Amino acid sequence: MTLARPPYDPELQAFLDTMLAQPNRPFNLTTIAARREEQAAVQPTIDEILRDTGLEHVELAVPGPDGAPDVTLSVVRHPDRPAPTACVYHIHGGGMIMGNRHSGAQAFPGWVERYGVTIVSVEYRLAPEHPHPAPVEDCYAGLRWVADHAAELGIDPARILIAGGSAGGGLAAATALLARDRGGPALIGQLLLCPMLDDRDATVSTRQFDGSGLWHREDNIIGWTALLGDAKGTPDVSPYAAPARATDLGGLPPAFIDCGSAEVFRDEAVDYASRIWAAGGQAELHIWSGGFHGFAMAEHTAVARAARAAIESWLSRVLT
Amino acid sequence: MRELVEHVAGLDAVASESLKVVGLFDALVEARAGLEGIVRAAAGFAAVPAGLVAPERRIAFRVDAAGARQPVAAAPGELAARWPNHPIPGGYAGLVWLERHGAPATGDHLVLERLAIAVGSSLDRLTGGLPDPAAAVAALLDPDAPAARREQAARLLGLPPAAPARVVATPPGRRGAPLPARTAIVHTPAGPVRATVVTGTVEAPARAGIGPAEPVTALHPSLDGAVAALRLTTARTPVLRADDLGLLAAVTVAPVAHLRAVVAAIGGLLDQPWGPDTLHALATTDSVRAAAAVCGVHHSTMQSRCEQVGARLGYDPRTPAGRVRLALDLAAHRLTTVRFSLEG
Repeated sequence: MTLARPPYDPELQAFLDTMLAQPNRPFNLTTIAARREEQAAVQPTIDEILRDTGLEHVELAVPGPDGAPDVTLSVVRHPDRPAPTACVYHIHGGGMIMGNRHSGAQAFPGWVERYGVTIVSVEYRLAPEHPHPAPVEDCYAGLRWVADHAAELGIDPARILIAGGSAGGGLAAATALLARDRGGPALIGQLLLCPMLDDRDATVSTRQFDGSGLWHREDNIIGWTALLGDAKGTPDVSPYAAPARATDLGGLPPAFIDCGSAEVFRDEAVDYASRIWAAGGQAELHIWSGGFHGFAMAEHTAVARAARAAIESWLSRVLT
Repeated sequence: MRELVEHVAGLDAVASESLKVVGLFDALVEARAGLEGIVRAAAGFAAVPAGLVAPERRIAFRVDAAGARQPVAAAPGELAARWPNHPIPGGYAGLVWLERHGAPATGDHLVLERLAIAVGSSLDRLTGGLPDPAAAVAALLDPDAPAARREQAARLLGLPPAAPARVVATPPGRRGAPLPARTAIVHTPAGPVRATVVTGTVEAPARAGIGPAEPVTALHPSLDGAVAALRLTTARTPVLRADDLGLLAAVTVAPVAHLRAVVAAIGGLLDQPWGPDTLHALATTDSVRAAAAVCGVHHSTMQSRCEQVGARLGYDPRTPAGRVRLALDLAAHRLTTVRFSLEG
């Protein structure tokens, strides 16, 4: 039986049905390589994104987790910044299985211009080749290095904000938990955009969006299975893999959490914010009416514009 | 948006850009995205500002390339002269445009066309029970329509309910031709006629009857006057104002069946080569000499024509009473014989 579910916003519905319509084809762990290639082929390069912006891009190879390869960081900043600047530590999305550190980089120039920040985007290893804890430990190692080398990067170590969307939002939340539990680095905020937080597939929203939307229930199960293997959904899953598993959400930096009302991640986003509040923490939660997962891509629509304005409002309050 | 389009283009190389444009606007209408959302999609797709002006709905705005809505003060004509544009189908007076400088980009034409169609069908939906402006005009002119419906129709057409307006009646034109703004086809005893609601100065078209000024929500007498005047127009007096007809307007609703014999007689005279000019001159001048001057003939020629007319009609058109009767009989002839129909 199909559950009743919130309808998509009319403008978003039209985009989903036409601009984002994809050929129906199998998506599973064996087709991930092909999907990654497709995505890489259409993703603009960082040079294309930064062309005519006057911003500079530096790549750094920094030590990875113990016994693991180096982690590559992309640093995007203004060449003439009055150091030290605040830092947005960015973790890309892609369901734990796709994407690279330049996925979503279209937002970088605007953030640098608007807030004068330095952006550091981390290249973490992807599942299923590299299951948990590889992705989150790479993210943490990069963050640790940035905080330890803040002076040479021209970054104010007291003003590092962690940010990510979708799987990147889940990894950002997990990295914030690691930073809390390992005694640093200190973060001034966590920007969690439609974050992927819960491996258990047990919410109403996941059942409502079974087979509908850009990242629907089956896709989500594939992503979590790639990350966790057989452990997915069992009591053994670490909160650093699935932050919704954390029993203690106290002592975290202020969170901005958003999500569409019409997507799998809605209920886990609401629950995460509620439990941060319950623990005495600060969170700002926006559930956008009729938003599908990734609705911000339809950037001209009224809902995407409102969502962007809310993010910008929060960033300007946190970064100043 | 550009990133999105590239992203999509890469995901699905088979689907052509134009198919996407058509699908996008259809989907926006189906999802009831609203006028702003539809215009915003055009701006996003074309990556230049897009706009909509629909004067009868008092809608005028543009959406910039970043998706922000702004008001527009320019008149439709000004916008049409400045930017690539497309009229809104369905009898609306408005247009949509893309603020493209220089040469149009591939697909601009298609975006404009689909945008116009989407706006037209959304306007239809938003008019609540009055599917298009022509239906609103028809409601306004319908003496049996409830007052509330006529007021709604006036609002829809952007007319303040108390404002004075006139109905201008013109021949019905081609079948299926798009109607000008604030126009409907109405059915009269003389066949279908175009009725246009006009506020302010009337610019009379080639052949028209102009009704008296009445409040917008009580326009029916103006329609009657306009239709009466139109039915009385001739090649010599192609535009008539009901205000100038006086009691003559009343003959259009008078029973004329018993005048069959006289109408036939007038018809016979009008079939003479000299008939139309002569009867018109006799009915509108006050002497044989003056009528002869109007027709460019010697007054003795006119005298002999008058005798033929008198013999045929059974009264002397040279007397004041005969002149009045001739004018009325000419009107009766027009009312009986002039019929309008849709061309083609």
